[in-house]
Amino acid sequence: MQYSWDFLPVWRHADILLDGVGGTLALTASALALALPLGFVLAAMRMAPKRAISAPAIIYIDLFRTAPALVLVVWFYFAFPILIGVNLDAYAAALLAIGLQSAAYMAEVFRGGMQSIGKGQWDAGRAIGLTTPDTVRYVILPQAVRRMAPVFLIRFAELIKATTLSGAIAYGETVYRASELSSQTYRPFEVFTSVAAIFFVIIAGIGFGARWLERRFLQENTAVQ
Amino acid sequence: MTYHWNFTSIIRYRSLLYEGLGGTLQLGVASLLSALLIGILVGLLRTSQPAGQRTIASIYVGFFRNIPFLVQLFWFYYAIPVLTGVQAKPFVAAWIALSLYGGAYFGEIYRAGIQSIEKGQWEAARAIGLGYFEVMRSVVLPQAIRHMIPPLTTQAIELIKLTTVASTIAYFELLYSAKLVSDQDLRPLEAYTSVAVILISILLVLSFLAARLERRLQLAD
Repeated sequence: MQYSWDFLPVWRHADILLDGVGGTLALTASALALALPLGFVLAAMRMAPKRAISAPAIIYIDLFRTAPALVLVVWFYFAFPILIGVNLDAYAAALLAIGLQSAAYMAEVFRGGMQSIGKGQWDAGRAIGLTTPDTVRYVILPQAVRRMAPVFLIRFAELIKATTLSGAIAYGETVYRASELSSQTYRPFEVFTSVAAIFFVIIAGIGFGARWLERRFLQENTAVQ
Repeated sequence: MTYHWNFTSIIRYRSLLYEGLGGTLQLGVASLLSALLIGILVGLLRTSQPAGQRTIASIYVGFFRNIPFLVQLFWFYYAIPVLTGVQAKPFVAAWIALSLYGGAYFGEIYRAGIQSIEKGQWEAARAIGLGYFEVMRSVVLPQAIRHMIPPLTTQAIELIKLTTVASTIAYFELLYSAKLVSDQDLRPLEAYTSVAVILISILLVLSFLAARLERRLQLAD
């Protein structure tokens, strides 16, 4: 193998990749801003005793979790605008596809966290006269959030991975900018090696944080007992 | 909402969709088989005695799980010509990328399954004179497989979902065929909706079957 590596062209155009990283972060942040509140509402609906409320949430969650992310991205870009008669740019389509799907995943994290809190806590909240929303707010969530934190971080990392798919509809995130850079420099091997390294640092860092939180939570739990 | 749905172009060009479905199945089945095999190797190395083997396997897993799949796919697509001197066929690049990516995830499931069997079982089997592979085959795996099947089916479905990403390197699978069909009569809404419905239906059936299998395993416990 006589290939000679040359990262210089990539380094010289690092601003293009950095611009792409900015696009990735912008999309990740806005998708998160959509997914967290919507996920919470879906989880609350899903846990409701009335079927008329829980059924739509179950259908939403199952549908969005089953659909391949790229199919959603492409559908929201090419098909959805025709359906609603409004033009969507790549950013808006990617935000809807990835944010709405992430909301379904987040809903399951919220539900898992809230259901992990013992039934006695719910009963106790009720017994001192709290309404269900107040019980959730003052009793359940403060405890559940600590348990959910590591899982949230893992979901957050998955969200970052999913944003790369928006490159397929020409949204200017890291992979899309990398493709531009590689056709400009004829160095696809080096460009994508650099991109892989960038994502590895970010995502492995988040995973490290998740494990750290998990260990801390376990330690606190054993300290209490 | 005054849009008039018109599926005639979908029906006219349905052979493209059939071909796409074939491509999805081919890539899905091939990657699933090789990923399951790679996973076994990774899982065994991750739980083996020598620290060197464990380290190599955990570097492998860390590598493939912390880089977005699309980046890995592009990387292999461009790396293969550099390493071998021949242009990569989309199928080959996608197959290699999916196998290695899936292998990392499957490997972790095997590892968790193997580690869920108590040490006492190992010691007992060793005490009656069984070798490593004998212990695995006759004692550990038959017990561990039950814990492994639910996460394995979930991960297998995730892998099939990822085959759609191969359309970005122009591999002819279902999502790619949607693009071809929508280019024929400029009916993207119908083309992409049809393909989305087909894919989601297949995946829903698969997860329904997986859930049933899981329930049966629980009943058997």
